[in-house]
Amino acid sequence: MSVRAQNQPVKMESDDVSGMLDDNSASLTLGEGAAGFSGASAENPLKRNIVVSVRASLAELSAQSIKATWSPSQENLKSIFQQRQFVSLQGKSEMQGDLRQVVMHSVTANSVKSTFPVAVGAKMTGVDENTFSSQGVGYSMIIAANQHNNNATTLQRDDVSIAYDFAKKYPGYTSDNLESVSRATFATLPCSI
Amino acid sequence: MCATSTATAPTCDSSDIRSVLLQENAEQLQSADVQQMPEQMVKIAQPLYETLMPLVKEQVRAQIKVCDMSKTAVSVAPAEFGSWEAVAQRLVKERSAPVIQKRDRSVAAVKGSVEDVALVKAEYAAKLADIEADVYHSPCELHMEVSACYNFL
Repeated sequence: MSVRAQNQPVKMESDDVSGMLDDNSASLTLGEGAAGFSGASAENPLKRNIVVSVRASLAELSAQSIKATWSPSQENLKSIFQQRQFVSLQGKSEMQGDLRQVVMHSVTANSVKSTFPVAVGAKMTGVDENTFSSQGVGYSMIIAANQHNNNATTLQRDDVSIAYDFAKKYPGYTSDNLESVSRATFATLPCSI
Repeated sequence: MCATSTATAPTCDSSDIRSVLLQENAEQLQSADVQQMPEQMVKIAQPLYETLMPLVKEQVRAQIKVCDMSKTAVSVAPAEFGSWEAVAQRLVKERSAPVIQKRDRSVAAVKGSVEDVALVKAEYAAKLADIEADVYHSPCELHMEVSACYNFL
Protein backbone atom coordinates (compact mmCIF):
# COMPACT_ATOMS: atom_id res chain seq x y z
CA MET A 1 0.00 0.00 0.00
CA SER A 2 1.37 3.35 -0.92
CA VAL A 3 0.87 6.58 0.88
CA ARG A 4 0.90 9.58 -1.44
CA ALA A 5 1.12 13.11 -0.21
CA GLN A 6 -1.47 15.33 -1.84
CA ASN A 7 -0.06 18.60 -0.58
CA GLN A 8 3.38 20.18 -0.48
CA PRO A 9 5.47 18.85 2.39
CA VAL A 10 5.65 21.14 5.39
CA LYS A 11 8.67 21.14 7.67
CA MET A 12 7.72 20.32 11.24
CA GLU A 13 9.59 21.63 14.19
CA SER A 14 8.13 19.13 16.58
CA ASP A 15 9.19 15.49 16.64
CA ASP A 16 5.64 14.40 17.30
CA VAL A 17 4.44 14.72 13.74
CA SER A 18 1.50 12.43 14.30
CA GLY A 19 0.09 14.82 16.80
CA MET A 20 -0.24 17.44 14.10
CA LEU A 21 -2.54 15.25 12.07
CA ASP A 22 -6.09 15.29 13.18
CA ASP A 23 -8.23 12.22 12.61
CA ASN A 24 -10.04 13.69 9.66
CA SER A 25 -7.02 14.55 7.58
CA ALA A 26 -5.45 11.20 8.39
CA SER A 27 -8.47 9.34 7.11
CA LEU A 28 -8.45 11.37 3.91
CA THR A 29 -4.83 10.84 3.04
CA LEU A 30 -3.92 7.51 4.55
CA GLY A 31 -6.84 5.40 3.54
CA GLU A 32 -6.98 2.35 1.38
CA GLY A 33 -7.45 2.55 -2.36
CA ALA A 34 -5.63 3.26 -5.56
CA ALA A 35 -5.74 7.01 -5.05
CA GLY A 36 -5.56 6.97 -1.30
CA PHE A 37 -9.23 7.73 -0.94
CA SER A 38 -11.42 6.51 1.82
CA GLY A 39 -15.02 6.84 2.79
CA ALA A 40 -18.00 7.21 0.51
CA SER A 41 -16.69 8.03 -2.94
CA ALA A 42 -18.65 7.00 -6.01
CA GLU A 43 -15.58 7.12 -8.23
CA ASN A 44 -13.27 5.11 -6.00
CA PRO A 45 -15.09 2.15 -4.52
CA LEU A 46 -13.31 -0.50 -2.54
CA LYS A 47 -12.69 -3.75 -4.40
CA ARG A 48 -12.38 -7.26 -3.07
CA ASN A 49 -11.78 -10.54 -4.87
CA ILE A 50 -13.38 -13.40 -3.01
CA VAL A 51 -13.06 -17.09 -3.72
CA VAL A 52 -16.13 -19.09 -2.86
CA SER A 53 -15.77 -22.84 -2.49
CA VAL A 54 -18.42 -25.41 -1.79
CA ARG A 55 -17.48 -29.08 -1.58
CA ALA A 56 -19.86 -31.79 -0.47
CA SER A 57 -21.42 -35.06 -1.56
CA LEU A 58 -25.09 -35.33 -2.40
CA ALA A 59 -25.62 -37.38 0.76
CA GLU A 60 -24.12 -34.59 2.86
CA LEU A 61 -26.10 -31.93 1.04
CA SER A 62 -29.31 -33.88 1.59
CA ALA A 63 -28.67 -34.35 5.29
CA GLN A 64 -27.08 -31.00 6.21
CA SER A 65 -28.21 -27.88 4.41
CA ILE A 66 -25.31 -25.92 5.95
CA LYS A 67 -22.99 -27.86 3.65
CA ALA A 68 -24.51 -26.00 0.69
CA THR A 69 -23.62 -22.61 2.13
CA TRP A 70 -20.35 -20.71 2.03
CA SER A 71 -20.45 -18.41 5.00
CA PRO A 72 -17.36 -16.90 6.65
CA SER A 73 -17.47 -15.96 10.32
CA GLN A 74 -18.24 -12.41 11.42
CA GLU A 75 -14.59 -11.77 12.21
CA ASN A 76 -13.46 -13.07 8.84
CA LEU A 77 -16.06 -10.96 7.05
CA LYS A 78 -14.73 -7.89 8.83
CA SER A 79 -11.24 -8.84 7.77
CA ILE A 80 -12.40 -9.28 4.18
CA PHE A 81 -14.57 -6.23 3.69
CA GLN A 82 -13.55 -3.59 6.18
CA GLN A 83 -11.16 -0.88 5.19
CA ARG A 84 -7.79 -0.51 6.84
CA GLN A 85 -6.95 3.07 7.59
CA PHE A 86 -3.74 4.37 9.06
CA VAL A 87 -4.43 6.85 11.79
CA SER A 88 -0.90 7.88 12.67
CA LEU A 89 2.54 8.05 11.13
CA GLN A 90 3.74 5.43 13.62
CA GLY A 91 1.82 2.93 11.52
CA LYS A 92 -1.16 2.55 13.78
CA SER A 93 -4.12 1.39 11.78
CA GLU A 94 -7.75 0.58 12.33
CA MET A 95 -10.30 -1.45 10.45
CA GLN A 96 -13.23 0.78 9.60
CA GLY A 97 -16.62 0.47 7.96
CA ASP A 98 -20.03 -0.74 9.03
CA LEU A 99 -20.77 -3.96 7.16
CA ARG A 100 -24.48 -3.43 7.66
CA GLN A 101 -24.39 -0.29 5.54
CA VAL A 102 -22.71 -1.09 2.27
CA VAL A 103 -23.49 0.48 -1.07
CA MET A 104 -22.77 -2.19 -3.66
CA HIS A 105 -21.48 -0.85 -6.97
CA SER A 106 -21.01 -4.10 -8.85
CA VAL A 107 -20.44 -7.81 -8.44
CA THR A 108 -18.63 -9.82 -11.10
CA ALA A 109 -17.97 -13.54 -11.34
CA ASN A 110 -14.46 -13.78 -12.80
CA SER A 111 -14.30 -17.55 -13.04
CA VAL A 112 -16.55 -20.44 -12.19
CA LYS A 113 -15.79 -24.14 -12.00
CA SER A 114 -18.38 -26.71 -11.06
CA THR A 115 -18.25 -30.49 -10.92
CA PHE A 116 -21.90 -30.76 -9.90
CA PRO A 117 -23.67 -33.11 -12.31
CA VAL A 118 -26.73 -30.85 -12.43
CA ALA A 119 -27.33 -27.13 -12.86
CA VAL A 120 -26.80 -25.30 -9.59
CA GLY A 121 -28.44 -22.05 -8.55
CA ALA A 122 -26.40 -19.74 -6.35
CA LYS A 123 -27.81 -17.04 -4.09
CA MET A 124 -25.34 -14.35 -3.10
CA THR A 125 -25.61 -11.54 -0.61
CA GLY A 126 -25.68 -8.26 -2.50
CA VAL A 127 -26.80 -9.74 -5.81
CA ASP A 128 -30.45 -9.61 -6.83
CA GLU A 129 -32.10 -12.95 -7.51
CA ASN A 130 -33.14 -12.26 -11.07
CA THR A 131 -32.05 -15.49 -12.75
CA PHE A 132 -34.82 -18.07 -12.77
CA SER A 133 -34.91 -21.81 -13.28
CA SER A 134 -37.82 -23.92 -14.49
CA GLN A 135 -38.81 -24.38 -10.85
CA GLY A 136 -39.69 -20.69 -10.71
CA VAL A 137 -37.04 -20.00 -8.09
CA GLY A 138 -34.89 -16.91 -8.48
CA TYR A 139 -31.12 -17.10 -8.06
CA SER A 140 -28.26 -14.66 -8.30
CA MET A 141 -26.79 -16.91 -10.96
CA ILE A 142 -27.28 -20.41 -12.33
CA ILE A 143 -24.22 -22.51 -13.06
CA ALA A 144 -24.60 -25.22 -15.67
CA ALA A 145 -23.62 -28.82 -14.92
CA ASN A 146 -19.85 -29.39 -15.00
CA GLN A 147 -19.26 -25.81 -16.09
CA HIS A 148 -15.77 -24.37 -16.35
CA ASN A 149 -15.88 -20.74 -17.31
CA ASN A 150 -13.10 -18.16 -17.13
CA ASN A 151 -15.04 -15.35 -18.78
CA ALA A 152 -15.96 -12.55 -16.42
CA THR A 153 -19.72 -12.17 -15.99
CA THR A 154 -21.29 -9.12 -14.42
CA LEU A 155 -23.86 -10.30 -11.91
CA GLN A 156 -24.95 -6.94 -10.58
CA ARG A 157 -24.27 -3.33 -11.46
CA ASP A 158 -26.19 -0.53 -9.80
CA ASP A 159 -26.42 3.17 -10.49
CA VAL A 160 -25.22 4.45 -7.16
CA SER A 161 -25.27 8.17 -7.92
CA ILE A 162 -28.71 8.60 -6.33
CA ALA A 163 -27.56 6.68 -3.28
CA TYR A 164 -24.53 8.94 -2.83
CA ASP A 165 -26.64 12.07 -3.28
CA PHE A 166 -29.09 10.77 -0.70
CA ALA A 167 -26.30 9.82 1.71
CA LYS A 168 -24.78 13.27 1.34
CA LYS A 169 -28.07 14.96 2.08
CA TYR A 170 -29.20 12.60 4.83
CA PRO A 171 -26.06 10.99 6.24
CA GLY A 172 -26.62 7.73 8.04
CA TYR A 173 -30.22 7.26 6.96
CA THR A 174 -31.35 4.06 5.31
CA SER A 175 -34.74 2.42 4.94
CA ASP A 176 -33.80 0.03 7.74
CA ASN A 177 -32.93 2.58 10.40
CA LEU A 178 -35.74 5.06 9.83
CA GLU A 179 -37.69 3.60 12.73
CA SER A 180 -34.87 4.41 15.11
CA VAL A 181 -34.57 7.96 13.91
CA SER A 182 -36.34 10.56 15.98
CA ARG A 183 -39.62 11.64 14.48
CA ALA A 184 -38.64 15.26 14.38
CA THR A 185 -35.75 14.40 12.13
CA PHE A 186 -37.81 11.94 10.16
CA ALA A 187 -40.22 14.73 9.34
CA THR A 188 -37.54 16.41 7.23
CA LEU A 189 -37.12 13.40 4.97
CA PRO A 190 -38.41 13.84 1.43
CA CYS A 191 -41.77 12.20 1.90
CA SER A 192 -44.65 13.47 -0.14
CA ILE A 193 -47.19 14.33 2.50
CA MET B 1 -46.04 19.53 -28.36
CA CYS B 2 -46.43 21.98 -25.55
CA ALA B 3 -49.02 24.59 -24.80
CA THR B 4 -48.07 27.97 -23.43
CA SER B 5 -50.35 29.56 -20.91
CA THR B 6 -50.84 33.27 -21.32
CA ALA B 7 -52.63 33.70 -18.02
CA THR B 8 -50.66 35.55 -15.39
CA ALA B 9 -50.27 33.54 -12.21
CA PRO B 10 -50.74 35.39 -8.96
CA THR B 11 -47.44 36.00 -7.24
CA CYS B 12 -46.86 34.35 -3.88
CA ASP B 13 -43.78 33.30 -1.97
CA SER B 14 -42.65 29.71 -1.45
CA SER B 15 -43.89 29.49 2.14
CA ASP B 16 -47.42 30.29 0.96
CA ILE B 17 -47.21 27.58 -1.68
CA ARG B 18 -45.92 25.11 0.87
CA SER B 19 -48.76 25.91 3.24
CA VAL B 20 -51.32 25.47 0.47
CA LEU B 21 -49.80 22.15 -0.61
CA LEU B 22 -49.65 20.98 2.96
CA GLN B 23 -53.29 21.88 3.47
CA GLU B 24 -54.28 20.10 0.24
CA ASN B 25 -52.39 16.99 1.26
CA ALA B 26 -53.96 17.10 4.69
CA GLU B 27 -57.39 17.31 3.15
CA GLN B 28 -56.58 14.46 0.78
CA LEU B 29 -55.52 12.33 3.68
CA GLN B 30 -58.73 13.29 5.45
CA SER B 31 -56.71 14.31 8.40
CA ALA B 32 -56.13 17.56 10.13
CA ASP B 33 -53.21 16.05 12.03
CA VAL B 34 -50.56 17.63 9.85
CA GLN B 35 -49.02 20.79 11.17
CA GLN B 36 -46.13 22.78 9.90
CA MET B 37 -43.52 23.44 12.53
CA PRO B 38 -40.59 25.86 12.60
CA GLU B 39 -37.40 24.99 10.70
CA GLN B 40 -39.32 23.36 7.83
CA MET B 41 -40.47 20.44 9.94
CA VAL B 42 -43.81 18.76 9.75
CA LYS B 43 -45.63 17.41 12.77
CA ILE B 44 -47.94 14.46 12.17
CA ALA B 45 -50.11 12.36 14.45
CA GLN B 46 -49.29 8.77 15.42
CA PRO B 47 -51.93 7.08 13.18
CA LEU B 48 -50.77 9.07 10.19
CA TYR B 49 -47.15 8.29 11.02
CA GLU B 50 -47.94 4.58 11.05
CA THR B 51 -49.72 4.89 7.74
CA LEU B 52 -46.99 6.87 6.05
CA MET B 53 -43.96 5.12 7.46
CA PRO B 54 -44.08 2.12 5.07
CA LEU B 55 -44.43 4.47 2.12
CA VAL B 56 -41.51 6.58 3.25
CA LYS B 57 -39.43 3.47 3.83
CA GLU B 58 -40.19 2.29 0.32
CA GLN B 59 -39.25 5.68 -1.06
CA VAL B 60 -35.97 5.72 0.84
CA ARG B 61 -35.24 2.13 -0.16
CA ALA B 62 -35.67 3.13 -3.80
CA GLN B 63 -33.18 5.94 -3.40
CA ILE B 64 -30.53 4.29 -1.29
CA LYS B 65 -30.03 0.58 -1.69
CA VAL B 66 -27.94 -0.69 1.19
CA CYS B 67 -26.62 -4.23 1.56
CA ASP B 68 -26.06 -5.92 4.88
CA MET B 69 -22.72 -7.62 4.27
CA SER B 70 -22.32 -8.64 7.91
CA LYS B 71 -24.02 -11.90 7.02
CA THR B 72 -22.48 -12.41 3.60
CA ALA B 73 -23.08 -15.90 2.32
CA VAL B 74 -23.34 -17.86 -0.89
CA SER B 75 -25.73 -20.77 -0.88
CA VAL B 76 -26.26 -23.27 -3.66
CA ALA B 77 -29.29 -25.37 -4.50
CA PRO B 78 -30.24 -27.61 -7.41
CA ALA B 79 -31.75 -25.27 -9.99
CA GLU B 80 -33.98 -27.85 -11.69
CA PHE B 81 -34.88 -30.04 -8.72
CA GLY B 82 -36.76 -29.52 -5.48
CA SER B 83 -34.04 -31.00 -3.28
CA TRP B 84 -30.62 -32.63 -3.31
CA GLU B 85 -32.29 -35.95 -2.49
CA ALA B 86 -34.32 -35.63 -5.70
CA VAL B 87 -31.10 -35.00 -7.61
CA ALA B 88 -29.49 -38.10 -6.13
CA GLN B 89 -32.51 -40.28 -6.90
CA ARG B 90 -32.64 -39.06 -10.49
CA LEU B 91 -28.92 -39.70 -11.02
CA VAL B 92 -29.14 -43.19 -9.49
CA LYS B 93 -32.07 -43.97 -11.75
CA GLU B 94 -30.29 -42.70 -14.86
CA ARG B 95 -27.04 -44.55 -14.17
CA SER B 96 -28.78 -47.74 -13.07
CA ALA B 97 -31.01 -48.01 -16.13
CA PRO B 98 -28.41 -49.56 -18.51
CA VAL B 99 -27.17 -51.92 -15.77
CA ILE B 100 -30.71 -53.09 -15.04
CA GLN B 101 -31.30 -53.68 -18.74
CA LYS B 102 -28.08 -55.70 -18.94
CA ARG B 103 -29.09 -57.71 -15.85
CA ASP B 104 -32.47 -58.57 -17.39
CA ARG B 105 -30.77 -59.77 -20.56
CA SER B 106 -28.37 -61.91 -18.53
CA VAL B 107 -31.23 -63.43 -16.50
CA ALA B 108 -33.08 -64.29 -19.71
CA ALA B 109 -29.94 -65.90 -21.12
CA VAL B 110 -29.62 -68.28 -18.12
CA LYS B 111 -32.92 -69.94 -19.20
CA GLY B 112 -34.62 -70.96 -15.99
CA SER B 113 -31.74 -72.20 -13.82
CA VAL B 114 -32.71 -70.86 -10.41
CA GLU B 115 -29.22 -70.95 -8.97
CA ASP B 116 -27.71 -69.21 -11.99
CA VAL B 117 -30.46 -66.57 -11.96
CA ALA B 118 -29.75 -65.88 -8.28
CA LEU B 119 -26.04 -65.63 -9.05
CA VAL B 120 -26.59 -63.14 -11.89
CA LYS B 121 -28.99 -61.08 -9.78
CA ALA B 122 -26.53 -60.96 -6.90
CA GLU B 123 -23.77 -59.83 -9.24
CA TYR B 124 -25.85 -56.99 -10.64
CA ALA B 125 -27.21 -56.02 -7.24
CA ALA B 126 -23.64 -55.32 -6.17
CA LYS B 127 -23.10 -53.20 -9.27
CA LEU B 128 -26.29 -51.22 -8.58
CA ALA B 129 -25.22 -50.67 -4.97
CA ASP B 130 -21.88 -49.36 -6.21
CA ILE B 131 -23.66 -46.93 -8.51
CA GLU B 132 -25.85 -45.68 -5.68
CA ALA B 133 -22.89 -45.26 -3.34
CA ASP B 134 -20.96 -43.47 -6.05
CA VAL B 135 -23.81 -41.02 -6.70
CA TYR B 136 -24.48 -40.31 -3.05
CA HIS B 137 -20.94 -40.11 -1.73
CA SER B 138 -18.78 -38.68 -4.52
CA PRO B 139 -17.88 -35.11 -3.56
CA CYS B 140 -19.06 -32.35 -5.85
CA GLU B 141 -17.22 -29.05 -5.98
CA LEU B 142 -18.03 -25.49 -6.91
CA HIS B 143 -15.40 -22.77 -7.01
CA MET B 144 -16.05 -19.16 -7.93
CA GLU B 145 -13.88 -16.10 -7.92
CA VAL B 146 -16.07 -13.08 -7.37
CA SER B 147 -15.11 -9.40 -7.46
CA ALA B 148 -17.14 -6.96 -5.42
CA CYS B 149 -16.90 -3.16 -5.75
CA TYR B 150 -18.54 -1.36 -2.87
CA ASN B 151 -18.32 1.43 -0.38
CA PHE B 152 -19.43 2.11 3.14
CA LEU B 153 -22.05 4.72 3.81
